[in-house]
Amino acid sequence: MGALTKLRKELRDKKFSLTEFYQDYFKKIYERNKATNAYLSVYEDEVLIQAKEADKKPRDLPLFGLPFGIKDMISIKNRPLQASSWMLEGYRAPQHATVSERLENAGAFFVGRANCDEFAMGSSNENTPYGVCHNPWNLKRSSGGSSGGSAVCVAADMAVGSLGTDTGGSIRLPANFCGIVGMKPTYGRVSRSGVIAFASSLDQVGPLADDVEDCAEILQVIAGRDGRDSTSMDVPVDDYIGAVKKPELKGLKVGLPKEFFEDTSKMDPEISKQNEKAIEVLKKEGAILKEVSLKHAPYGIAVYYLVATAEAASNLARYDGVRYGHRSERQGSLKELIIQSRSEGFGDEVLRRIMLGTFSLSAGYYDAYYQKAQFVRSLVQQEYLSAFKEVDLIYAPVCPYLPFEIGCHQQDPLQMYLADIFTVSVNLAGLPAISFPIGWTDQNLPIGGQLIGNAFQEAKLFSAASAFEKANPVTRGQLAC
Amino acid sequence: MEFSVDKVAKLAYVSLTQEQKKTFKAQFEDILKYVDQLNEVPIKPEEAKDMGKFHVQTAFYKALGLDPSQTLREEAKNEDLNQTNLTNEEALQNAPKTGGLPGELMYEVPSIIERG
Repeated sequence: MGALTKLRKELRDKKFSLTEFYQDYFKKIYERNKATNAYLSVYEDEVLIQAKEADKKPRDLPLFGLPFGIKDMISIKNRPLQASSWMLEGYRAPQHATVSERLENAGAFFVGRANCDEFAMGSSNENTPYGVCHNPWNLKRSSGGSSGGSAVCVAADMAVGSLGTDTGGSIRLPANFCGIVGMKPTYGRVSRSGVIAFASSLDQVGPLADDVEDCAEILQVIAGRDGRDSTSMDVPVDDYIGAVKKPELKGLKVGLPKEFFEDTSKMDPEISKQNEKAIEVLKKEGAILKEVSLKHAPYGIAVYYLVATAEAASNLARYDGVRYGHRSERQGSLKELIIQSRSEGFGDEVLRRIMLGTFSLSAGYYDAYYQKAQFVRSLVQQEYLSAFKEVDLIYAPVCPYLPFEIGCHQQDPLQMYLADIFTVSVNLAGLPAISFPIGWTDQNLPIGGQLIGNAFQEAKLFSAASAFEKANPVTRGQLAC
Repeated sequence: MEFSVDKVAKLAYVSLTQEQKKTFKAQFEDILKYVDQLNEVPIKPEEAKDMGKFHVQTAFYKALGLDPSQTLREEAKNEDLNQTNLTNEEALQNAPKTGGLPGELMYEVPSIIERG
């Protein structure tokens, strides 16, 4: 049983009051946050007031009283919202994001604002002026990013569930590095209203949780059409919780992309070994394995870093120091105010991406870079959709590296970008995917795998991942925090 | 291909230190060399004209038997109109600087008309 399901049962069985629970829980949060820096803000006072009120009420809401961490990209009304950036120092969200509203209506309590890479740009949660987020299993290692805080708060039992955003792997990669489950839903499955935009055609909000069932419980609450986001699609929400209760791999056709498995020389040998074992588990559980070809998926990183940065350059143009955000004191004219405010407010990785995006959209380079990338993106999507005519799901590794030493890729952004090699193509195609633990190394580091589904096939992913989890339970190591 | 850090910084409305310029130039050259691998993908002449028109959800709508443009229009008509906007106070609460009379506050920025 996952942490969310377990705590809900204890609350429904009235083993303790919410007030008693949270008085102890915040002690643990503060202690572990000192070591991990998973939360940038902790909302103890607000939650204790909420708990006192909620103790008088019936405990029947699906997420009644349960502690959640929310990535610092997602609005919670009247609480700080900074995208882990100096640019938004002091900003408070004027309204709830739709996902926050849905969680709150289901009874969830927001215990903290989860750390992340600045404007969700990064794979290690190091790109932030508010401090690196540490892996709870080995504090010298990266938590993964960009939703590092969202993964760590769940792995270190500082929340039973969290929300992250996934633009190129930012939910699945930290979930993988922290030994938990993370789902990137279909583009359009979950509303982006109230979520800070990074790359609008790729961003998607999703849950991180202790196990597959807990992950399904959260998606069940946040999924569905929202009139405040025209890209959220009016497609019925399946019964994800029911799907987890019918774990099934038998007879499912699972594709193995040959491009992801044919050259494992750049993959850590331990990851390679655990992925071979995972494929054996799929086979043993009755899945029919079939090689598929995603010829253009290896171009994913190149496409992603042109499309995502172009969209980022456009989305982040709004940060001009006028209506909100950092305003430079070094100003003469309005133009200088804008330039100085942006240069002081954004960190290096954000500046790098804004400039790369500006370049790919600029006259003379638009056709050669941005348009070409969009064309290859369409091929990536077509190949995935063709593959799904032959198979039900696709299995792939999440990352070629083990959680890396903090600081090891900071001078070489391209090496850092390559951490996303197995995740970005899923975002380019807009498809859903779930990452889950498949093994644990002798160095006390988790290794994950991912299943990728066709559009709006989240229920199938939950059912298959749940079957895998039952067939291959992974024993976690000792927390280092 | 020459990547001019100064030119792109100007277009992006940012200014960089000398050290940033040096570091970024080397990093951009590496990144652009890497993305040049996209040139390995051939494009047929008939594909070239629609090259940049990709929309991620079009295939999903088609698979569901829906016309994307029609669907988006209908959804906008049905739902997107009845939304509450921020009040003046809410919109201004995060402004770095405001000015004007009480009750009629506005964003304050440096003058854009120079005195003669």
